[in-house]
Amino acid sequence: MRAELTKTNQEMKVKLQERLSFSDHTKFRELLTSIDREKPTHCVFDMSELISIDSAGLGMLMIAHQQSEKSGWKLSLQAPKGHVKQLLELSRFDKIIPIT
Amino acid sequence: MMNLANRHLAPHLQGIGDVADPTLAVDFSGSRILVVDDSVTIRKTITTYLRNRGFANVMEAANGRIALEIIEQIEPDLIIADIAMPEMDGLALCRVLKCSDRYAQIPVLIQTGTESADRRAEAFSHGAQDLITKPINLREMLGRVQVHLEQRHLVRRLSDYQQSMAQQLEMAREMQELLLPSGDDIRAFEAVFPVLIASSYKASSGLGGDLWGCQATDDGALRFFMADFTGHGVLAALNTFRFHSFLRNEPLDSLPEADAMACLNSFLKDVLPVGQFATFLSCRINFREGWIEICSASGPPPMLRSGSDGEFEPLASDGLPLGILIESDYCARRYPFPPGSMLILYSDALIETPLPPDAVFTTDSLCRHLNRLAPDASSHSIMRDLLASLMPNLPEDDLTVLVIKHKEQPE
Repeated sequence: MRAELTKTNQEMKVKLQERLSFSDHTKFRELLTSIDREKPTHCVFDMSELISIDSAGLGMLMIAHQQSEKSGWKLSLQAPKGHVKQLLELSRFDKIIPIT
Repeated sequence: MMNLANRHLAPHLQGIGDVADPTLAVDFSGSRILVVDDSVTIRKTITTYLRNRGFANVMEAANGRIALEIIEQIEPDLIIADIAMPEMDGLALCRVLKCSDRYAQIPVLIQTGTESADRRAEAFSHGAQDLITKPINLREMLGRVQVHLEQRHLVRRLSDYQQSMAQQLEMAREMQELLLPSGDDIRAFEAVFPVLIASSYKASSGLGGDLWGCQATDDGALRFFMADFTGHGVLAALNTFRFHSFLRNEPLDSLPEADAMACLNSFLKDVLPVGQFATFLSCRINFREGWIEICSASGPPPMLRSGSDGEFEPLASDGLPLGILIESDYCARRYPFPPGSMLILYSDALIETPLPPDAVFTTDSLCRHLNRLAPDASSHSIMRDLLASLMPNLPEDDLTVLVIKHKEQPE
């Protein structure tokens, strides 16, 4: 996984790239800490360049969701494609995290 | 005199595993040290010095050949050998030891004198661990001896630890395989129901997060389930044990599929930390009435062929995985399953090997592939074909595949 963070006013954008899987667990936790530090009101995960995600990756999105509720920012996922989109649809993640 | 052999390991090097108590200081005074030199004077100087510094097991040999005889009887922890000796010199001794499985790990310190720098350096290519330059500075020699004994001790501990972990994992793997229906269980179902079952389970790293099961229900149906916990390895495997125990103790098969799922969801929501969950799929087959009922929590779409002349189709299987939200609702869907029908259940590694977008199969291409196979292909031949199609790629996740066929009645 690679992640690029940008911040405009109170909104953060995290562009996720490559794959989100089991081995990214520590890195993803660090990413959430970085987001928390910025105290945004809203954070968008740009999924357009993420090429695959596994169940542990979906689990990390759940952790992000929980973290956002705890820290008081809103999380949404943007533009998932291909395999990532299919898996998010299959697992009905739109019921938990808004997907735009 | 201070006992220098009784050195303590540096704190940062301790605690490698549970093989020995890492808080205990390591005492090297019992280490067996073999000093090999044809000069009696040098031999005595070294051995006396080491003994005076607290090493109780110092042995001597006049050349490499005699040294080998001693090594055969009392395996030393460290050898100090002269480079030049009659009969068998220090380098030849090194070579013999390095070729032996048993003795290759014994550190050998070579004493060098007037040899050229190249010749001295050559000792390393013969397998020596270190050099001691003559005239010998005894304190420096003692320092090197201690460093190498410590290193050998750590390597041993690490390798003991690895071996013990590997054994434990292997035992855990065997225990986990016992959670799955055995060949005998499957044959027993095949004897009672008009069904042919082929199954394959392979954990990607010894232990895995996949689990499947099969049971006969009170109303005369056969119920299969397949679960896949987040991730793989030890963590995911622990969840399969937890889940298996729950399934055994809860009388779920009297419940409608959707209610049974809700019950499993509520259990997992209760016990799993955020970020862990399970995809799950259950199917109840009523052979007498020829139907199948599928209930899914995000399991990969099962492939169903109704009747022997039908076509395989992926079934809808969307739904929140188990253990995420307490208010998830699940619904069961019923499909015809007359004799000749086939159902294929699989964990996601079948459509994620290698990782997407390079996977051999997508849901759609898997379906097309199945439809190209001979309509009368057996459960086992379909299984063999699917597993062979993934080769030479090894799944990075646990892979479970079940091929279930409603046996046609003989004419």
